Parts: sequence; C-alpha cells; structure tokens
Amino acid sequence: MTGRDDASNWAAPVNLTDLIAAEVHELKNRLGHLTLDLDELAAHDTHMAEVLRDARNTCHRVGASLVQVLTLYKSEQGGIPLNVEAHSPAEIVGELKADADSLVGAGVQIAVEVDGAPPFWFFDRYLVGVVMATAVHNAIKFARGRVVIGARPEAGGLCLFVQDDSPGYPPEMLAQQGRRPTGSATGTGLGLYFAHLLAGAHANEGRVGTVRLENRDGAIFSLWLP
Amino acid sequence: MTIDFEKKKVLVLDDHPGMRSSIRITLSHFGVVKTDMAGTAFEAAKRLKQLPYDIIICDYNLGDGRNGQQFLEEIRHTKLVPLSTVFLMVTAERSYERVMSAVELAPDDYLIKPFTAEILQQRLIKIIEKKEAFQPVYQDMDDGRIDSAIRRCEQILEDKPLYTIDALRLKAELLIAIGRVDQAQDIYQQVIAMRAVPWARLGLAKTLFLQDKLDEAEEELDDLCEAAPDFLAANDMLAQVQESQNKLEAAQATLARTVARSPNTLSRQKLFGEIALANGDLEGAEKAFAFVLEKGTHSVLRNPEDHARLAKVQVDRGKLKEAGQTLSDLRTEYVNNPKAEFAASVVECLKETKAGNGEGAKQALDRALKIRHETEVGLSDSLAMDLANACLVNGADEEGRQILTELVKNNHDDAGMLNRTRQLFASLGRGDEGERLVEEGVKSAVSLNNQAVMLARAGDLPGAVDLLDQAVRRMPNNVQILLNAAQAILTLLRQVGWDADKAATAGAYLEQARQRKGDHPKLPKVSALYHEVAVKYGMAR
Repeated sequence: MTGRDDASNWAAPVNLTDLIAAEVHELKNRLGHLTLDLDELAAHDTHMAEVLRDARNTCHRVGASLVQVLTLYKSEQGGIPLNVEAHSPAEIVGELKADADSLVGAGVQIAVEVDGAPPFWFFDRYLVGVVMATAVHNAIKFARGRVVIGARPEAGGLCLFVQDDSPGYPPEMLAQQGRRPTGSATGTGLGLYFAHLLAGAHANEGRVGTVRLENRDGAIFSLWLP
Repeated sequence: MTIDFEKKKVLVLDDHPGMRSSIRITLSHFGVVKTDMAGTAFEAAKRLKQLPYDIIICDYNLGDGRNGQQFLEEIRHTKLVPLSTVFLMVTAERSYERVMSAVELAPDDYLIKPFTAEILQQRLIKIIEKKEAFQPVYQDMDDGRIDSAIRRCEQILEDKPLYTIDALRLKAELLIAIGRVDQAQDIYQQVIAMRAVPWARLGLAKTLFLQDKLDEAEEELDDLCEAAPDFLAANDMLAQVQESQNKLEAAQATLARTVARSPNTLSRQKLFGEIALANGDLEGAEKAFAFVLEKGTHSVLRNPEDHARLAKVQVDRGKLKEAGQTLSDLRTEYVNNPKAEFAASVVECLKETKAGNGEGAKQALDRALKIRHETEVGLSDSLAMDLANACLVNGADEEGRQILTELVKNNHDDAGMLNRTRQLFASLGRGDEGERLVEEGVKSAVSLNNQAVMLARAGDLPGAVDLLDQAVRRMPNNVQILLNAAQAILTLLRQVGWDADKAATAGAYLEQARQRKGDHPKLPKVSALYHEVAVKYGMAR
C-alpha cells in the first residue's frame, strides 16, 4: 500500500511493460489509501454523503480494474497464477454484500441468497472476489431498486451470481457473452473478458469454469466453478 | 454471533507508520478502540509479553528481511500467545498468498491490501467464530490431551460442515503428533481427492517421510516444488528428505534455491553451510557461515560455534589470517565463556597446525583439552570432529580415537557422519585405521542393539531392557538406541503394570532422542506408545 514496501517486491524493471506493471501496482496501492481516506471522511461528514458514495464507488471500481490489469499482465507470462483453497461461498457472498451496502444509498436494496450453497468449495478467493465485486458494481450502477448476490449448487459445481432489476443486458452483449473486449466508449469490456479468463483457469476433473450472462427480470451475471 | 469489538484488544504490527495508522482508523470504523501498534517484531513481542491481546494484525513484509511468518512461528513456538488469539496476516503481494496458506503454522487468515473496513470486519468476525468452534480442541491441546482433541475434531466434522477442511487439517496434524502417521496420511489423501491443495500435498509428503518412504516423499515434493517454486516449506522438506537419502548434492541444490529466495532465515543458512561442507564446497560453506555471523548479531540462536564453523572453513581454505580474525572476534564477543574459549582453542589448534607452528598448535590443544576435562562443555558433533582432528595431528592419538569412537557409536546409522570419520583418517594417510575404527564402533552399537532385539523377540523383555539401559549408558546420544530402550521399557510396562521410575526413564530417553533428532522416523511411534501405556494405567487421559 505504500511505495517503499512494494517497490522492493518488484525486480528492477527491465523493460517498459514491467515498468508499467510496477506503476499499476503502485497506483492500486495509492488508490487503496485514497479509499481509506474517503471512508474516514464518510464517517465524519454526512451532508456530502451522496458525493462521497459516488467517489467511493469509483475508487472500488478502479481498484478492481487495476487488479484485473495486473493479473492479465502476469497471465501473459504463463497463465493466471491461482491460489485454490477451500472457502465458504456464503462467506464470500457476505463480504460482497458488506461492501455493496457501503456503496449504495437508501434507493437500492442488497439481498443475499445462499440457501442450499455447499458449506465450502475450492476456488481462488481473492480473484473470484474481484470478478464478483465488478459484477456487483455493474449491478448497482444499473439496478432500479434491488440487487441479489447469491451462491447455489449447479451441475455438480458452484454457481455464484449477481442479479439486478435493470432492463437487462443489451442483445449484442448477450450474443457475445462478453468474451471479447470491446474497447468502446462506454467501457472496455475488460471486466467480462477477465471473468471468462478466470473462470477458464479454474479446472477440476476435466471441467473448466464458465461465465454466463442472461436476462430474466433483469440482468443476471453467473460465475460457475467446477 | 454479534461480536463486541469495543472489548477486543488489537495489536497492529507493520514497519510503516502510515500503514499502522491506516489500519487503526479502519479498525475504528467498526468499533475497535483498544489498538496498540508496533513497528518491529521485537517491539511486538515485548508488548505481547506485557499484555494479552485478542487479535494480532501483522504485515507480511516487516522490512530488514524479516517477515510476518517468522514472527508468527516465533510467538507460537514460544507460546507467547495462546492458540485462541486471532492472527491475521496482511500483504501487498498476491504471490505470498500460497506461501501463507500452505505453511504448517499458518495464520488464521490473510488479507490482500488494499482492503476496506467492511472486508476487514467480515474476516475478523469469521475467524473469531471459527476460533470459538475450535476452542475446546485448543484447550485439549494446551492440556496435552491429544486423543480428546482428535475426538473433538471428529465431532466438529459431524456437526459443522463449514469447518470440514479446517477440522481435517488439524486432525491430521494431531494424529502425526501422537504417531498415528498412517491415519494422517489417509486424511491428506482424502483432501487431495477433493482437490490437490498444496498444504495437503505437503502433509502427505511428511507422512511418507515419517514412514521412511523416502523415494515416494521425494517424488511428491519434487512435483510440488515445481508447481509452486515459492513454497519454501516444501523445498525445506525436500532438502531434508534428500539429506536422509544421502543425496547431499541434490540437498545442497534444493537449499540453494530456498536460501536465494529467503536469505535471512539463519537456520537454513547454517544447514546450507553444513551440507556445502559435507560436499566439499568450501566456498559455499564459508559464504553461508559468514552470513550467519553477520546477520545473526541479535539472534537468540547465536552460538560461539557460529564463529568456530566459519574459522574452521577459513582454515580449510588456507585463509589463515581471516581465520585468526574470526577467532579473535569470537573471543571478543564472548568474554569469560568456557564454551567459547574451548571452541576457539580447537580451531586455533587446526589453524596453527596448518601454519606449521607445532608449538602453538600444542598449546591451543592443551587449552581445549583442559577446558573439556574441567568443565561440562557440551560437544556438538562437528566440534567433536574438529577436536579429534586436532588431537590426531598433534600426538594426542588416544584421546582423538576415543572421541571418534564415541562419535561413531552415537551415530552408527548416520552414513554421512561415518563417511566424515573415514575421510578424516584418510586425509592423514591412516585410511585403514579409520576403516577399522568405524567398523568396530558400528559393530559394537549394532550388536548390543541386536542382542536386545533378539531377547525381546524371545520374550525376555526384562533382559532386553537391562541390555538397552547399559547401551544407553555407553552411547547416550545414540537416538536409535534411546528409542529402542524407551520402547522396550514401555512394552514391558504394558504387560506387567505401571512403574513410575521406569516410566520416567522411558520419558527421559524419549526427551533426549527428541532433542537430538526431533524428526527421527521412529520418534512419533514410541511417543504414541508412551501415551497409550500411560492412558492404560490411568496416568494420562
């Protein structure tokens, strides 16, 4: 989170790409500081609550993007490095809800659905957390009043999902399923592209994870893990 | 469960003041008011000695080459904090994640920076709930009731599916502690069948090692180290296995990898130096021992022998001036310390011998022998070897031969030690004499041991116990004999009934064996037998 500490974890940059990656790492950590400062402000100052919430929202989104960019850079050098351990799906959903609650005003309700979820499942908690947080940020952005974050068993695997009550994904997105980054003005599509990559990196007994976008009373983002 | 964070005492350990206050503010968002902060492990340990804390939040990177894992191991080994204290590790680098989750003494959880107050709070709540569920197990562990702790793990497995993996992991470790290694192996395999997580693979390798299945252990570890090169614990165990297989060059190569990744772990540097020395890599050995001296100034593990090891290698390399300087440093650092003076004199004798100064060598040797006869200086194996060397080249043949005979008898199953003894004689052009001395020493140790085993098999347990007691008196540092003696006594007690004196003797043998070679494959089995017999007669629960 601070410069000295992290600079030492990086070998001396030997080329431009390494230098950029080191800088992104640094940016991510400075952004972390900024987020904490905003948390501090939010705790003291309530009449700017709306503005602060927007600012914090932006910080969370940018933070998740930077992690994705960094991980993508590392994946260029030989796949996404995963740390797969047993974790509780209900716990990760609980963390996503706690973060989401701090990012929305009274107008949006965050609900949780974890009945029937397995007590533990094997996955990379940190990166799955980043992908799901990005999905939650999007849901919050488009939702009219309600977002559901949940976990359930599906096809012998674990399905983590985020559902909102927005008008749903546009048709071209449903067709593409976000597999290819768009680079458009409304968003680069990096988040979805990363989600597909991360899902694919999770493998078990010959099956790999998948990402699914669908519309049913709103938009549903699902991450299925074998 | 609602958790009253206002009552929790929290210690934050981070070498950056900015980060410390960030965490303090983050904690205050959910009601933590009692936060103390420390910038170094030393300062944190001091605070832990003064006050009990409920929660420790520790940064992985503590600066100056130290890390949070070393700190965690230190405070758990010295029992500075109870198992019920929450330990949360924090890191900026995702690459440490695997390292943190897979080590034997893992933190309760870890968190990657930057994180929000919400996430920190959620994590702490989950850890506290888990600790609560395992509290009865910890209590049993603290009281030494391992059987009961295992049963409680089984209860958790039945009642609380959320903690399945944690309970399996702890149960396997407890099973190993009381020697039920094959059952622990089953658990690791059961977890691996679900998913081949690194800690379970390391656990499996350990159970193979403990069952003396060295080739299988090596294969598993090779694979694991290749999949996760930053997983130092796996590399360390691989080096240990290779050393047991007497593949010293492979062991040195493995250790070289871990030393390069984590140079500041001094115990690893020392081990590297010893193995380099055994491989004849004097340069590598000198570098490692010099590093230990330079970095270990404030280490609690510092020992006069650290200087002596370096000086000896310098003598071997013909760097006599440097050796002289190292010995003079040794004497300056430890004033009026017989052990230090003894070690210095032994190496000084070798240095003067090499310099062709027979008179000086003789004087140094006399000084060393005088200290040895007048005080109870403990003799490490390497210093014993150096002393014997000094004796043999300075006309104290009888003493030299006696020291080496003892060394051989005490290590009759250690191929490396026997080889070093042979090499010493060979280097003096007395190879045949060396062969004979080693052969006789091994034979007398083996024959006593075998006679006792035969008596025991023939049903004469008291006879076997007597013989092994004698053997222990003659070879007090021979781990195999210590363990056989303890086993014979305990088997006898199991048949004829409890005897407090005999049980105490068996316990003392076990302790001696543990101190000398804590990883001896037979140790868990005999420990388990002790426990079983004690339980049978109501002397333990």
